[in-house]
Amino acid sequence: MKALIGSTRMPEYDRECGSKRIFDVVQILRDAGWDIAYVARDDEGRDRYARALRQDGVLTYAGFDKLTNEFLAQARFDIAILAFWHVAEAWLPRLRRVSPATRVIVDSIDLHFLRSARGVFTRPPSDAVATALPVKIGDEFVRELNTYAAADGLLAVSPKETSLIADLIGNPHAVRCVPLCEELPRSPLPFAERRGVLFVGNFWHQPNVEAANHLVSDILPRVNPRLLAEHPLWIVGNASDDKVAQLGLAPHVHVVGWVPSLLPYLSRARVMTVPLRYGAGTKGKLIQSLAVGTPVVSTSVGIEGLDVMDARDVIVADDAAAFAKSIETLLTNEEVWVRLADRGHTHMAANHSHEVVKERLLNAIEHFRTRSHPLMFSAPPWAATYEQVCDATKAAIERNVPPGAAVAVISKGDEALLKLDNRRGEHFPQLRDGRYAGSYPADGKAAVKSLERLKARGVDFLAVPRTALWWLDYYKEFAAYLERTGSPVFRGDDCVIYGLSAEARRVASATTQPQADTRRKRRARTVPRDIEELRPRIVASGDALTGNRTKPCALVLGIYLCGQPNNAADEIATLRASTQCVLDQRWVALGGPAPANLAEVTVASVLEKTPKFEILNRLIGSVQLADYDYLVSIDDDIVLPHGFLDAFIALQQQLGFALAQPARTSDSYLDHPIVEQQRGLIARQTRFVEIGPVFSMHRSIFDLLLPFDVTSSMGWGYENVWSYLLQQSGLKMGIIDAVPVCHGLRKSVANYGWHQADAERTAYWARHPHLTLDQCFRVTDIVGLPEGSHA
Amino acid sequence: MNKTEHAEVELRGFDRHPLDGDAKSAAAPTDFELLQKQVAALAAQVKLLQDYVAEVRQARPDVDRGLLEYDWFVQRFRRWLADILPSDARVLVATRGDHALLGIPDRHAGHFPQDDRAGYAGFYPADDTAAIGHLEALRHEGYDTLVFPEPAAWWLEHYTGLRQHLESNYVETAGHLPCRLFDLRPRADRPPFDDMRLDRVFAQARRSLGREPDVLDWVTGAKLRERFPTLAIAEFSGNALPHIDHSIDIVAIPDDKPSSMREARRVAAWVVVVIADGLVVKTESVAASGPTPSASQVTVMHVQEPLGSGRIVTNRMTVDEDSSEDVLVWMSSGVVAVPGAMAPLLATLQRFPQAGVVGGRILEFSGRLYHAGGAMGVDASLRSRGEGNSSPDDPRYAFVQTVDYCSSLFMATTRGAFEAAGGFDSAIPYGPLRDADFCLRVQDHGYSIYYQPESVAVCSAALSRALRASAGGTDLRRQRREFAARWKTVLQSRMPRGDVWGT
Repeated sequence: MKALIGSTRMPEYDRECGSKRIFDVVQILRDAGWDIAYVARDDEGRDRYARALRQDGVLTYAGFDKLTNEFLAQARFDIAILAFWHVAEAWLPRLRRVSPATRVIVDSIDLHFLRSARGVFTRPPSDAVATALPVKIGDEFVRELNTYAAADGLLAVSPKETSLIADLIGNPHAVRCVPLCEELPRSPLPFAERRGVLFVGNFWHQPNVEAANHLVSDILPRVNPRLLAEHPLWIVGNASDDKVAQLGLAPHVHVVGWVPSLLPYLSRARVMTVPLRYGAGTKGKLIQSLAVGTPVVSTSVGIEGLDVMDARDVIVADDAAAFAKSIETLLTNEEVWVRLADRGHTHMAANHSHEVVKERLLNAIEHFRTRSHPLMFSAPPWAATYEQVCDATKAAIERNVPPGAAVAVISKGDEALLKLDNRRGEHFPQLRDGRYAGSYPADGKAAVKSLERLKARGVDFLAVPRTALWWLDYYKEFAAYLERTGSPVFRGDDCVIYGLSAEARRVASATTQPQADTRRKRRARTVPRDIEELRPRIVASGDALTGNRTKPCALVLGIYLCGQPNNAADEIATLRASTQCVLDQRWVALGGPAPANLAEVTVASVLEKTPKFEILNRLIGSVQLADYDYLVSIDDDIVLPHGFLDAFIALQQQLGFALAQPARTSDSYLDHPIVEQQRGLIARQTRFVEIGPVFSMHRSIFDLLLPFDVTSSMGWGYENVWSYLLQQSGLKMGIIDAVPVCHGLRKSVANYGWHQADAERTAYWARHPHLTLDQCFRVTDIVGLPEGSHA
Repeated sequence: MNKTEHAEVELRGFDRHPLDGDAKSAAAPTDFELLQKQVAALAAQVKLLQDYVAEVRQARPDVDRGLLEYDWFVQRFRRWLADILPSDARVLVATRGDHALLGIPDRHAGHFPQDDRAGYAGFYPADDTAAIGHLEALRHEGYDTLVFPEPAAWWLEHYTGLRQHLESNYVETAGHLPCRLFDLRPRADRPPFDDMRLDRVFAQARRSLGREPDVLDWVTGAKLRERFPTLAIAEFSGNALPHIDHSIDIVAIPDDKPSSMREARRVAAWVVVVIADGLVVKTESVAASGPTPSASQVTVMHVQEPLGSGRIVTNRMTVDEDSSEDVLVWMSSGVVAVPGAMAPLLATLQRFPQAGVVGGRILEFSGRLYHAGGAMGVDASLRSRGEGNSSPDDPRYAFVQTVDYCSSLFMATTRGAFEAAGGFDSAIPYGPLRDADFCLRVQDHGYSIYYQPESVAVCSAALSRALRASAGGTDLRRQRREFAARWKTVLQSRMPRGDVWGT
């Protein structure tokens, strides 16, 4: 069984209670035989805590982005336990999409909306802070509850919070109480050997800061000074800043700060204080103290959620005078002290021991794993092609919605759907601040209302991707509203786009008409303004080709993606400037007709999504290869240095590379470190030349490598086979560092599926002898710049 | 003498550290005088550089100014190294493939990183462990100096683990240098197989307390929290400690003034350590169980006999009845343990009573992963986890886990497990099969096999080549058949661990 556990950071179990809770959950599951992967949102964690997990056998990742979708899908986690609602909010959509069979459990730790609301309402009226809830807290409340409702199960730390969440989301079966765990040994020291008053708190947490202030400013001055001299106050805890340190200026107060172990303090103090005035959840320090056998004076807030009673297990005091009096009682009355110490310890052992918590946690997980849930669904039929649906939706929007317009997309929270070229994408439904609402509208009326709100804010279009077409069946009123007030400006297999006003429909209609001028303008925008800043420089050229008997003939084959930003126009112009090669450029427009400025070199338009090497095979089949000395394949997302072709071919010729590629500049996307430009070198002879963005074949290998075997239609795995074939033939290949290209526009694998390409590669390798990647990533010789010149 | 030569002469004088050589015999200049000299020398350099650039550009107007400056730097760098390094020095230079940086007159210099034939590797190490492993392998090859020229100074920012490794284990040469230079020779003030005395104190505390010790760093200036990031270290900077008595295991202080010692003794529960200039100068026990010699003993078995297929193997070993070793650490010749590798192996055996064998993370010469524990299929097929992964810090190989077998290139066994299993079977010449066979017999006796990633070892260039070459021995098929036949029943009856995380 496998569990993914996620939180904001590595579990700093000796610094704050929430982290300790997560750490306990990890340990319980690990002891129960689960394989665990832990992911922390923050990528800069304290190494000690990550190490503690790793030494406990837990796979750890620092940074959500470190966990790839491939890993999530392949790992097939049985459950995911996400600590804190905001972590779950960020993760739920992705987990649902990538790993739909994983049961997602949210560990609330404490209810944030409750703590926030109390933080406002329990302040004394004299405080300068507003005493009415700000809207922000309301928004967070909505998001918090929506997240709880969207999960497959919830963990709460107390029966009270369990009941509250169950009421609010209307589902008692979705929540289970798993209390905090403490397994500290009881202190052997009797009353007479105890000394001091203790306050413990993590000062990142504002309620603790306020509680410490309250204790020192309002309560301690009411305690008998002679008693206090004998029993000073120790303030211990994480993140004590200067303000907390100032508290140590008061008489008989020691601010210790963070200590690696609280146990010496807990077991030697005579009294523990919990003067919290607001908060939520249950208080770990109170549980720890009672477990050790140190009696506690607490406010009502401090004991909340724990089944402890005033005078039976602890002393509860809510005003400063009563609190001070209670401290004095416990410092001086041995009989009361012993009774509370015994009772408190017994109570905690019965409710918060490791065994008790373990049983509850494992039962809860079993319950959530086996329970059917309305939100659970098996992998939808379109899951494998979700990326394609997204791409098609975005392409449709860019084709049918005028630039500058605002488009609402039923996005299910996927930010990728909103990244549109020169159009404003908006989540639908969304919160007031524009973030994804995190839940579906309750009914059709609510959906209409949400859409009208967006219309009022200037949104003129609604895009419904194929994955959300069920809205139109499920929300009848919403579908009727769209039919009544809007009409589709585009209806395709992968999405429908509605114009929400007559004006929007008119503009859209004009946009979709083939106006060459508009297209030219749009294309022009796809070349970044700062392309010159990205343009690499040639470090060294080969000897001038003009000295050769004849100019080499270069066939350049390229493909550009219509409707996506590309640098094809710039590449074509740069190549065209060649003076030392006989150049034949042949480009293919993929996904649309050729724009006017590229028409001259565009030999075909391919409207269907077609793999690159299939297209290249078609192009190769249309020419007499024997007429050319070099075949150069080029992608549309690079920036070439001025004079690229002449310098590159000259060097390839002089170095005798049958197969060559330019190095990628350091600011490029780099799939393999070996292709990064190495300064001080002209070139490296290698056993690796990649399939893109640029490679050049000398005529001597045309028969050896062409046509391409489209078993691997995106070219994955070619490098290994090429390398093997050239090695067998005694031919040289290499990376030319002196003529680099910048590959910074698009990441690789941006326009096709990883899984399919990977599977094709496996099949391709099965058909061809090849080298392993490790064998390929070899530099077998280098050609340095001439010493002293470097030019 | 042309301008360039003149500049080099000037530079030699300038680059020498004022406290080195002849400067020591002169009257010590004040800081201000030193600063004045440095500023003047710097101004002279700039002037010379400008003249040089102007001169060359006049002759060759096509030459890029940046490249000229780089050329100037290379000349200066080589001259400086020739001046400062002993004649027998073997220097590693982070070159990014630029041969020019290796042209140090009369010194042997090599690329860092480099391939197993001493050519430039062509790429950077993927992570800290790869960089450290590769460096240690090169140390094993005889390199004793590591230099990062100015353009490569980013290495120490990017590879923070490498920087910590260098700072913890080697000495950086100070001075006004156009580079960062580390002396890779073992430090005389540090014992072998132990990073430093402070580490030993922590290790003893671990053994004595049965857990990681808590530490209080009371203004030692030794940056303990940074140097020992895996320990719980509190810091305090006030004049008197607010802590209660005997509440922290180890209290570290900068001097042994009576007042400091008194306060430290009060708070410490186990030992007070005095640290001056980053080194332990005094330890004082405050508990009955203070630092004592380790009760257990460790023997490192250097396995040297290459047999059969070219893999390093050993004859069936039996421990001498009279010997008192508790733990045997197996390390093949050609394998280099990265400093700090031993302690985690031993700690793992101690922490998990059922552990019979613990294997480390083994890297190839290049820094790539070679072995992160082994997985065995039901059909007796063997797979070295992570083999060939260029990033040994990949999280999938960075946590302790039970595995099917470990490699005897670098692993530790308890005496009990080794004796119970009857040692290695020398009838199996192929290393991985022999290791798997041994581990299966160990497991047969109720022990588990663990993988400990914090114990890192790296193979020398020669061993890396030998391991690659030995992938298919002539009679390997026969060995595999026999191995499968021997363990068929066991392998089919046990629950396969499988490839839990896609390793």
